[in-house]
Amino acid sequence: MRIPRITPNWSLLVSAVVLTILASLWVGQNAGFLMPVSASVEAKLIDDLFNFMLVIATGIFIGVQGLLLYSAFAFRRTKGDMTDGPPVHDNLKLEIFWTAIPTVLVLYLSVYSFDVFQQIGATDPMTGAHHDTGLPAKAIAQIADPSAPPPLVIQVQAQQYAWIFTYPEKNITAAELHLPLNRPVRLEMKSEDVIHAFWVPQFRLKQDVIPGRTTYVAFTPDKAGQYQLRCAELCGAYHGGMNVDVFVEDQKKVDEWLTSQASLSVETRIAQALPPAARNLPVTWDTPVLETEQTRTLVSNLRSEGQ
Amino acid sequence: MAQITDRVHPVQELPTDWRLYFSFSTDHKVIGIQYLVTTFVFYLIGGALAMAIRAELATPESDFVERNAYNGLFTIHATIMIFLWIIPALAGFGNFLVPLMIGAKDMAFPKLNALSFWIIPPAAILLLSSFWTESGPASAGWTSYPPLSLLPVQVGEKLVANTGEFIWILSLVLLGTSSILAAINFIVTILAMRTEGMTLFRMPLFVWATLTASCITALGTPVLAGALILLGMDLMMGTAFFNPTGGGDPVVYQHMFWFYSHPAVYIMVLPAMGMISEILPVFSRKPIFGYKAIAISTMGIAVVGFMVWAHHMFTSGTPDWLRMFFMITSFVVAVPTGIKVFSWLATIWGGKLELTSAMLFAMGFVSMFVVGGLSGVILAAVPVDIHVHDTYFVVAHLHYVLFGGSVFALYAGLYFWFPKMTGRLLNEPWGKIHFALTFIGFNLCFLPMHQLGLQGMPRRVAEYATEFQGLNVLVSVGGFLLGISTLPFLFNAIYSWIWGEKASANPWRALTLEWMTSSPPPVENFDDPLPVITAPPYEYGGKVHDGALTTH
Repeated sequence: MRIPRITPNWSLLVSAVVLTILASLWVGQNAGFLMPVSASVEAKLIDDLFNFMLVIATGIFIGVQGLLLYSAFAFRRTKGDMTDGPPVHDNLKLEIFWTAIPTVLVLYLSVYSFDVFQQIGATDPMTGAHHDTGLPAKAIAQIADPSAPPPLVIQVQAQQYAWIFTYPEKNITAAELHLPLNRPVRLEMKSEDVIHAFWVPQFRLKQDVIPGRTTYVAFTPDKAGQYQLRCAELCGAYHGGMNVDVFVEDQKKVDEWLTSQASLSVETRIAQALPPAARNLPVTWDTPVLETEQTRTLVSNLRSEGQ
Repeated sequence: MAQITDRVHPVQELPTDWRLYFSFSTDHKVIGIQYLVTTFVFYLIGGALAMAIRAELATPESDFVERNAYNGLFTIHATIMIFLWIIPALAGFGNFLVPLMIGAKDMAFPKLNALSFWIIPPAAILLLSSFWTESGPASAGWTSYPPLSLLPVQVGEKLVANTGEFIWILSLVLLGTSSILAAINFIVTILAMRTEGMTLFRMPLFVWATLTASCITALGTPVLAGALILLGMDLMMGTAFFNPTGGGDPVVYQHMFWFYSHPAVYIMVLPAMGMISEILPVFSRKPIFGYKAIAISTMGIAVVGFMVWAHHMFTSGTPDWLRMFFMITSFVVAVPTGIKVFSWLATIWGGKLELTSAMLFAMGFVSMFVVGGLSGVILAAVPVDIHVHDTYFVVAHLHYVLFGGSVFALYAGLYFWFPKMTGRLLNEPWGKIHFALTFIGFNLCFLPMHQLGLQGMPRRVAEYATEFQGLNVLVSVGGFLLGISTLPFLFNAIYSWIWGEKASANPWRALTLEWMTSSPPPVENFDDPLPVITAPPYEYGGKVHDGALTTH
C-alpha cells in the first residue's frame, strides 16, 4: 500500500480536527456551571448523558461555524471578478461520509439514552395500579436487589397553585416535602383541576400531574439540602409562584418533622401551601382529591377560606 | 393539462397604483406581496408583545403587567409569530416565486389564491380583538392544553367566561383553512403547471420545499382543526372530549395538537431552507452541492417529521415504549438535516463569495440553525428531556430554529427577491447594519436562555427565582436590541421601495427562471411563448451564462 504524502493541506485539516476535538472535550470538562447541584442518583446518569451530547454538539458547532467563518474570509470574490467558481455538483464519497457519521452517532445516542432511561426508570409505575408498559426493564427491576429498602411512598396532590403531600405511613398531610437521604422515594401524583408538572431541577426529573389519572415519579435523593419544587406546566395566573420547598435530610430529621407536623392542625399546616398572592382566590375545583379524611377537610377549608 | 396552462388570466378592472394591493387581485405576484406586507405588520405586533414579555422578565417579581395578562402576552406572541408571520410569510414567498420559478402564468386556482390571503386579515383582527374582551386574550399558551384552556378566567374578584380562548380557536380554524387552501393550490400548481422541460429534478429547491411543506399542511392542518373544534365544543357546549371532569382525556388533545404542530415546524423551516438553497449558490457562484440529496432529504424530513410528535410529550405520562420509539425517530431527523447543512457548507466552499445582505442572512441562517438543530438532538434524548422539558432551554431551542432559522431566511429572501418584487434594490449598507444588529441581538437574547433552562427556570412564568435575574437582564437587553434591529430594515424597505436604485431584470446574475423576466415581472409573467427549460437550475461555473438556460 502506498502511504499518502503529507501535504500542508492535510496537516492543516488534521490539526484543525484535533484542535476541535480537544476544545470539545475541554468544554465537556468545564460545563458543570450549566447545571444546578445534582441531588439524586438519577441526576448523575442524566448529567453524564447530557455531557456526552454536549461534547459532540460542541465539536459539530465548532466545525460548522469554523467552516462558515473561514469561507467568509478565504473565499471572498475580488472586486470586478465576474467569473464563476468551480462547477462542483457533488462528491459521492463525501456525501456517504456525512450521511454515515450522523447515522452512526444517532444510533449510538439512541442506545446510550435507552440504557440511561432503563436505569433511571423514574417515571415507571413499577408496581401494580398501572398497565404493563412492555419494557423488559420492569421485570428486571422487580427481581433486582430484594434487600433494598422499600421505597417511601408519598401521595402528591397538585392544585392551583399548591402542592400538598400526604405520608400515608404516618397519615400526615403537609405543604412541604421532606425526603430521607438515600432512601428510594415514589411519588403518586394526582391533580383535580389542570395539568401541573413536578420538577425539582436538582433531581433532574419531571413528570406531569394530569387530572383523571395518577402519574408516578421514583428516585433516590442522595444529597442533603434544601431545594425547590417548581411547577413546570402552565397552570394559570400564578403558575410562576407554584413553588414549594423540598428538604433532603437524615431519616431522623424527617421523622422529627413528621412528629412536629402531627401536633399541628391541618389548617395550620396547609395555610402555607398557597403562594401568598394566591390565597384569596376562589377555588375552582369541585371534588376532593386523595381519598383521605384529611384531604377532604383540607379542601373544604381551602374552599371556605377562599370564598 | 393543456386547459390549465393555456388558461388566460381573468381580466380584472383593477387600480394600477398602490390601491391594487388592497384589491381582490388574482395575480399571484400581487397576492404574494399582500401576504408579505401584511405578515410583516403582524411580525412587528408579535415583536412588540415580545418586548412586553421581556420587560416583565427583567425583574424576578411579577410587576409589569397583571399575571393573567402576562399569560395572554406570550400566548398571542407565539400565535402571531407562527400563524400570522412565519407560515403566511413563507406562503407569500411561495405565491410570488413558485409560478415564476416553474414557468407558469399564475397559480392553478387564482381566485382561491386570493381567498386564501383575504381570510388572513379578518382572522387576525378577530384574534387581536380578544385583547378588548372582558376575559382578555387566550392565556393558556399557544399549545392551549385543556383543562386549563377550558377554565373560566379570573378577572379581579370574579370568574368570567373564557371568550378570549373561543376567539383564539375561531381565528386559528380560519387561519388553518387559509393554509390548507394555499397548500392545495401549491401542490396542483407545482405538479400540473410546470413549463416544458421543467422536470421534477430541474425544479429549484425552493419549489421542492414548497411542495413538501404543502403536503405537510394538507395532511396535518385538518388534524389541528379537528382538535380545535373539539376543544371549542368542550369550551362552549360542555362536551367532554378532553375534559376529565366528564370522563375526557386531556392527553388525547396533546396527541392531536402535536400531530400537526410538530410537522408545522417543518412547514416553517423547509421553505426557509429552500430559500437558502437558492441564495447560497448565487452569491458563491457555484452550483448547489448535492441537488438531489437536498431535494430527497427535504421529503425525508417531511416523512420522518410525521413520526416524532410525541417528543413534545415525554413527561405527559406517555408509556415508556412509546417514548423510546419517538426518541429514536426524533434522533433520526438529524440525519437528513445534517445532509442539508453539510451540502450548504460544501456549496460555499471554494466559491467566489459576495457577502451581500442576502448572503449574510443566508450564512447566518446556517450558523444559527445548526445551534437549534444541536439543541434539538439533546432534547430528543428522553432522560435529558425530562429535565429540560418546559424550561427556557426549550424556549432557546425553538427560537434558534424559528428565528435563527426561519426569520433569518425570510430576511435573506426579502433582500434577495425585493428587486424582483418591486423593481428596486434595497440599500446594502443599511442591510448590513440590519444584519449585524439582528445577529448580535438574537444571540444575546437567546443564547443565555439555554443556561437558564438547565439551571431550573420553567417557561411561561411571570416571576422567577432571584438567582436567575442576571441572565434574564442580559436576555432582555438582547430582546430589545432585536426589536430595535427591525427599524433599519423597515426604513430601508419603505425608502427603497419608493426611491431605491432601479434594479435590472437579473441584478444578482442568477440562473433560475424568475430572473429571466423583467423586474417586476409583467402580468402572466413571461412574454409568449412560455420559456422552455434545457438545463438544471444551478449551472454556475465553467461557461458564462446569460439566461442561456432557457430558450424561447
